[in-house]
Amino acid sequence: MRGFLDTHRTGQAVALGEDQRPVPLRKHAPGLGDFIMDETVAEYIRRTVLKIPRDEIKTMLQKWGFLSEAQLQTINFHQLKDNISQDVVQLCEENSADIKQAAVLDIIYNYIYPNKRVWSVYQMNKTGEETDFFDLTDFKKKIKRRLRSALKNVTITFREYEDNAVWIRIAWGTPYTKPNQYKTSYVVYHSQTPYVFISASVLKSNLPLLCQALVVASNYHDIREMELRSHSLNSLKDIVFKRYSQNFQTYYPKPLRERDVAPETDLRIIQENKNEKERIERVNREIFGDGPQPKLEFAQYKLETMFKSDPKMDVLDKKEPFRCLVKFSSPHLLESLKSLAPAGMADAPLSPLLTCIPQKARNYFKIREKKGLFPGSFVSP
Amino acid sequence: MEEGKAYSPDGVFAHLEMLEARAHEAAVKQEETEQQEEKLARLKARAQELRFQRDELRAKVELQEKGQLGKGGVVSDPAQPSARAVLEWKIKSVEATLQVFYLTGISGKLTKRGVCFCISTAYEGTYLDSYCLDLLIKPEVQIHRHSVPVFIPLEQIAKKYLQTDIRRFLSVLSDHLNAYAGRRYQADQLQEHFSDQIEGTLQRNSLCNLLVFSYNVSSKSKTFPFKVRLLYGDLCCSLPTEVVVSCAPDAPVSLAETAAAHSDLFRRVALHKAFRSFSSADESVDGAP
Amino acid sequence: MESVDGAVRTLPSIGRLSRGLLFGGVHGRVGLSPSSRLLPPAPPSQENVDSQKTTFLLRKQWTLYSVTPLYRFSDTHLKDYARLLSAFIAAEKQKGLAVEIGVELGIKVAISSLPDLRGSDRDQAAILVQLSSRSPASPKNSEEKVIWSGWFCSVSGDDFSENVPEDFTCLPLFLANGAESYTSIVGSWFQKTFDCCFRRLAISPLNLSWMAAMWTGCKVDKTASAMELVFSVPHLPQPLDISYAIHPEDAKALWDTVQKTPGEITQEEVDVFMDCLYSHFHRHFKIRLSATKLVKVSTAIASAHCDGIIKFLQSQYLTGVLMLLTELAISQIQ
Repeated sequence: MRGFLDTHRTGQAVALGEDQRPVPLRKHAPGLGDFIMDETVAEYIRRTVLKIPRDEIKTMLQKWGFLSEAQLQTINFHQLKDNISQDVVQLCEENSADIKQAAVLDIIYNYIYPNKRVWSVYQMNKTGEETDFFDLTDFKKKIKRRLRSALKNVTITFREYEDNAVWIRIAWGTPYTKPNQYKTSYVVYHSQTPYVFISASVLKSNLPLLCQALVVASNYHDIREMELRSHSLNSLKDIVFKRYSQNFQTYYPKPLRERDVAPETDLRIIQENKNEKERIERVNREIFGDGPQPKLEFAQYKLETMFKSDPKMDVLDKKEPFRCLVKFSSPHLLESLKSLAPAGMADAPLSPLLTCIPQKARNYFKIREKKGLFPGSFVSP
Repeated sequence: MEEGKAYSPDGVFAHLEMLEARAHEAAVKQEETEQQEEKLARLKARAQELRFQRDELRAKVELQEKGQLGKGGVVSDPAQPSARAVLEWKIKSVEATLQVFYLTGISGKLTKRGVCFCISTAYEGTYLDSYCLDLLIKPEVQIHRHSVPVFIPLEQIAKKYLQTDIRRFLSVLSDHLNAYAGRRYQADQLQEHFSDQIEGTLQRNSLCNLLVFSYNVSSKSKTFPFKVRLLYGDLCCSLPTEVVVSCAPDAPVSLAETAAAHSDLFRRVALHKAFRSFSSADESVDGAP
Repeated sequence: MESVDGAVRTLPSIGRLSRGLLFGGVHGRVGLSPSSRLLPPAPPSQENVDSQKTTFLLRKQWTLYSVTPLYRFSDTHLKDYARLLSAFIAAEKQKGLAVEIGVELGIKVAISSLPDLRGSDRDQAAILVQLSSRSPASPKNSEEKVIWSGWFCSVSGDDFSENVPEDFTCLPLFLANGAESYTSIVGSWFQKTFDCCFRRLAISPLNLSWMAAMWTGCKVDKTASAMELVFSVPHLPQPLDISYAIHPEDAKALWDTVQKTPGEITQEEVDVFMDCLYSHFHRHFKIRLSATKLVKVSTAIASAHCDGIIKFLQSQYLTGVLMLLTELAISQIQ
């Protein structure tokens, strides 16, 4: 289902901005600015190259397409990474690279290593029902206009990928300062969907502006954070685009796959036990399906619910909620939750608070006691 | 194309081999077609049968309901077992509906709390993706979960039909999905088979209801780019409602005619088929091998 | 061996000897899951814990070891020991056995006594070992930096020390902070010189739950941090960690209703406390924490990890925590 990831198009990249010209050089050394690559650009390219694993530098530079194949031939990719990066910078100087090109290289790196960032999902809403003919050119123009009118100095770079995803890299500046290329925001948007994946920069203050630009450019009315975060961008996509295995009961039920269960060593297991095991397996499959779960690393619950104890125990009878913060963490949270009941660590079915994560598309919850008829149930706002 | 050439002995064998392969292919295809026709006839008969059954059941249900209202009028049985019977009939009727749907690319299965439908899409005989919908029946019909792409206006369709007419809901949704699958398939085909003629990238959006690209048209051994903008105003349709084909102002006048002809073709024929016809036309014009 | 009848000053009516300040001793066999411990009283008046002198022990990660009694150790010879240890370290360095000592110009060893860190006069005063070095980059007059420290102590371990022969000194608990390579050099010198034996001191989940309960009951200021229990779920294809943090006021409120036996904490109370927390968790998540492994407890008082790593956070409860750790160390030695 994720085949598109490997076959990304040699994307068309657009970078804009007057601010990206080597302004300081112009000021201080008029006449030289046009010939010498901005120092900060050189340093930025060097640092970006250093981030790439050595055996991938060449392919990534090829994807970048800024240096010719003949130029790439001259680089010794077996030497120290530091030296490779120097060589790359020198070639870039020959081609007089500017920040536009450097930013594209950064996008390529982040596209291949999205897991180095934390991604947050935002949801947009619209009121009308009119059919939207999303036009990428128009979208880009609106984003640029919005951000630039507010900040003047901002580097905005777009790159499109095969799955109708457009990647946007934004380096923020202010009307008086140049954009900081090291504190960038990333946005991944799939046209005509209400979801935006944002990896915000540390400069959080620009987030509202970014959100506003996205809403306007994509013809929506408002936007909100979904409380769904992960390092794995693809899993977030799987969750909100409902691409994860949901185990639908279709017309012809698939014959249950023979599962590679190790032969039961304990022959004394009584039928009842076996039945219970089968029940757990079945319930588990109904909830989680057979397919792989989307990858999340954590889930967090803020509980403000009543403490209910066994009346026999005679402990804590308070009217106030018992305040807890529960965090689950795992390299692959949903897979480990899935294996809890079969391992005897949890009831089957597992609590809906946990199994609703992909359904509700969130992994941050605040749980309060549900008011009204069902004292045993909870609600999350 | 090899027809006109002189054959070396090796070439003859190769040619024979090729002919043999072709004959085999044709035979296989014919067999397939026959099988499909047979299957179609069978399914049609089955559909007929089910429709009949459905009508019969519907009549029974109506009768039953009247009987309930009239309390002991028509129905001789006491009220209790008949309520159960009604339920059974209803279930059977739903099951029959489900089977009928299956023939149209929509299949369904009763679940504990409702029905799970699966809509399979196809474009010009090629099976494409399937999408599922898990519906809850009580207390009102609602979508429990689904795998319909997020850009398909599912919510709007549901708002219109889900409570009042599930069949309509499913058929409209199926139309949307089939049209989307068809549009996407055409764009994919174009990219896959005609990338050498396309200049730059083919720009599309998720719904594939706007395609923008340029392609080269050669005239008198010069190539001119045609800019195309295809707008699919009807989301239930896989052909564009608005086609703009433009060429550079310096292009020869004859090209303007070609552009008009192409534009007309795009409106009527699947994108990749239109391109296929251009290339065969090119071949005939230029005499290319 | 001993059914300790230690008592707490604030509970003179029980009529026991004056000893430890906090967390009390044990009823029942030491270390073999004691059935009860004495209740922690209100924070003690700082009469024998000079917080100034012990603040450097706070907020550092200490790795715990148990140490068998030291043969012919005398705290009047600390300076000599420092000299000998310093020579030993230099020799080890020469042999190239010491890892990562690298470019340092020479390591200074200081061994001193921390008389404040003991439960009663019958405990041996704690012994602090510090290794410091000058950074190679800066000149001689630059300040020395402590690169490793370790200390031996015994808080209310007197029942144990009373039962060892005369030539032995009981400092059953050893805590180290710094590179492990130094720990092993210092350890092997002590081992050779005083014929003792070091062992890592792990903390069992049972003892962690004791800590959770006891520390929850302690009074600290209002801004206290949450009581956090960390569980790890073993034997899953993908590891899972669960952090269960409870608001300190709510945790204390629960504990106060659970803790009923006057003057002491019983195993049953600890069990009830944990069971209550587990069932509250189960009610929400349907996960049985009792089937998982408790690996870490953090409270405003201290945090403890099952691997035998501790962090002290409140100086007024330092001896109290050490008393419990001394008890665990003694039980490991025995």
